[in-house]
Amino acid sequence: MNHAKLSCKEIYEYLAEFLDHALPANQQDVMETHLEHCPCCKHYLDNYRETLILGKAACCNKMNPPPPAPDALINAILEARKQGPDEIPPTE
Amino acid sequence: MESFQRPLADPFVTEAELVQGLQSGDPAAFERLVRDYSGRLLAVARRFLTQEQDAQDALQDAFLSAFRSISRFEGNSQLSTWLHRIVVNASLMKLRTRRRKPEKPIDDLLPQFSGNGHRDGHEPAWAVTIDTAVNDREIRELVRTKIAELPESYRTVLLLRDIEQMSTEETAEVLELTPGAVKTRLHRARQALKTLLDPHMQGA
Repeated sequence: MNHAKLSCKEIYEYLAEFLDHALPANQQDVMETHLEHCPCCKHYLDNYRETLILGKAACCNKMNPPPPAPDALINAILEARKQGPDEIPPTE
Repeated sequence: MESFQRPLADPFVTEAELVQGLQSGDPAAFERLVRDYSGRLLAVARRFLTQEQDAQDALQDAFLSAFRSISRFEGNSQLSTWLHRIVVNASLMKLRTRRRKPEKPIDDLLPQFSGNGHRDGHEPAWAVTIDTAVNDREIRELVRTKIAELPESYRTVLLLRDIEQMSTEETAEVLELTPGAVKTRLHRARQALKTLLDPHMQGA
């Protein structure tokens, strides 16, 4: 990271490490200073962070109780077990 | 006079009882396992495999693998956690073995910069607050749809790191990538997902 000429492009590249606090302290400070003065990068960081939160919420089974599996699939799995491990029929 | 019939006792009230039934080969235990867990596990497989038949095949492979190894299950983790991991592995195996379609490049979904490194274009804050978005069932469904639209090699890394909470090193190992490649793909995948969500989150 070139501290003297930190561009928005460089800020974008280090966002993941910045959010994880994985950058050396002086680089973390440089990022924070840039973000304080650049609304574009600040909004991008906020929207990026919210994307992560939304991704987790969207894939959380507790928040999104999945429907039961199709009966045909359940029956195929149980039937395949009866056939034994060496004779696994296709699900179709 | 009203007569009461006592319901048949459920032989698998606790997880330990279910595991015991499975390990002794009780067909009723296997049926209970499949009926109770297949819905949530199919949802996991569907995140990795966007073709429904592939997801169902992976689920079947996972259950058969679990049946074969249930004798070795020692209860060190919850049954649901153990099964979840088996489904993720079966989904990754399915991704590796099925014929792969050429991926669309991700570049169009990444931010563009001018020659001096400044952003080409405006970046407004999302109009929808994060609390509203997280609690909105339709938005959560939209996010799942957009995750499914990501190119497969990026979606897989995003799912393993952000959703399955695997470490960078573990993800690198299962995908046979370098840790650096995992970090780059994860960042690109998140950026692409953000771009796909922008039109829905900016216009309140």
